Amino acid sequence: MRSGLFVFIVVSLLYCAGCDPASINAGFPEVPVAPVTNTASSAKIGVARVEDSRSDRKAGLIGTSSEVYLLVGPELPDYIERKFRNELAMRGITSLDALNPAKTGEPGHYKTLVVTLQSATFATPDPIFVKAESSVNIAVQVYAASTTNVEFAASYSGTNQERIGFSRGTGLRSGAILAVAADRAVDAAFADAKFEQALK
Amino acid sequence: MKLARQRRAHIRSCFLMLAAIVACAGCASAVEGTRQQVAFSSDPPGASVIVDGVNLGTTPAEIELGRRHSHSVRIEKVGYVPYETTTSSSLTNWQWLDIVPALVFPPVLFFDYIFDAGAYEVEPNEVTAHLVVAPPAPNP
Repeated sequence: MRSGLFVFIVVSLLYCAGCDPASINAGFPEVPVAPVTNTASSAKIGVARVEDSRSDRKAGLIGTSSEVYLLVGPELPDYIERKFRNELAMRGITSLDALNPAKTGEPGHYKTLVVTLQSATFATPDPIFVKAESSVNIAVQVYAASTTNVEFAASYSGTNQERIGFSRGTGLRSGAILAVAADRAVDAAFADAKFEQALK
Repeated sequence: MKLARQRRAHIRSCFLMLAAIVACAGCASAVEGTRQQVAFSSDPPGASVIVDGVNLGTTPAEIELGRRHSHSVRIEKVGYVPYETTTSSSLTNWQWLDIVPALVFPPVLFFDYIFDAGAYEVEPNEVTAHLVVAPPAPNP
């Protein structure tokens, strides 16, 4: 009995030492479509594709008993862009497709909003009461119309902490947990009076 | 008389076994240490690294962080937008070794959870910030 237990422990240790970390991709929920504002009198702003300045796609380890990386790909920058465009629409501002003036070297006809995803993290640090923690940090720049000068820039963060139950549902819910953190980062931007002012 | 001596010997061996189990429970900390070196870099370099609100150096830097808890990291440089991220603390394979004494004496698992910081790992162990340009600060 005792030797059997010993062999089980040794084999388990050897197995764990030899396995490579696996990875899964996070999926993100759809952003509800906001009413499109595009009238001659509405304010207009160019919105560039959300840049991703992270050095890799790993957001962190998922689960409590194995090394599985959660990968966050271009879905999160897309999610953040749609969220920004919706928030602008809800404020009566028409968002138009634009290029990043810093990359093209050419100014836009309107003010241009450039959002950069700086970091996205996900972790399940508590092995007993399994909870997931996520954080998202974005940099927001507003370029002046007809110049390539940055008029306003700031960084905003959002965090989210949810209890998910022992080793269940982490993979499926990871994107939704990260999306809440991203929502909070975007909300923080629109709660900043200086940012709102820069959009006008 | 002989029975009392046997009982004392039995109690002593039980106590020694318990001490050995508790000592083994902290083995990860004894081998790995309770702190881990994390590399911080930025583009451009020369940015301040602020961990949990304390300025700990300038990029590029290798800074030791406690393994057991998550840390909030802010990398900032004048003329650039601050970068923020959070490091997490995840269990390593040392957790399996900690479970061995827990099979004999389950309360050890509680001591492991609280005290054996060496069984945890700071994730990620490299933080790279590509800083985004901010407008020059207005003159006062």
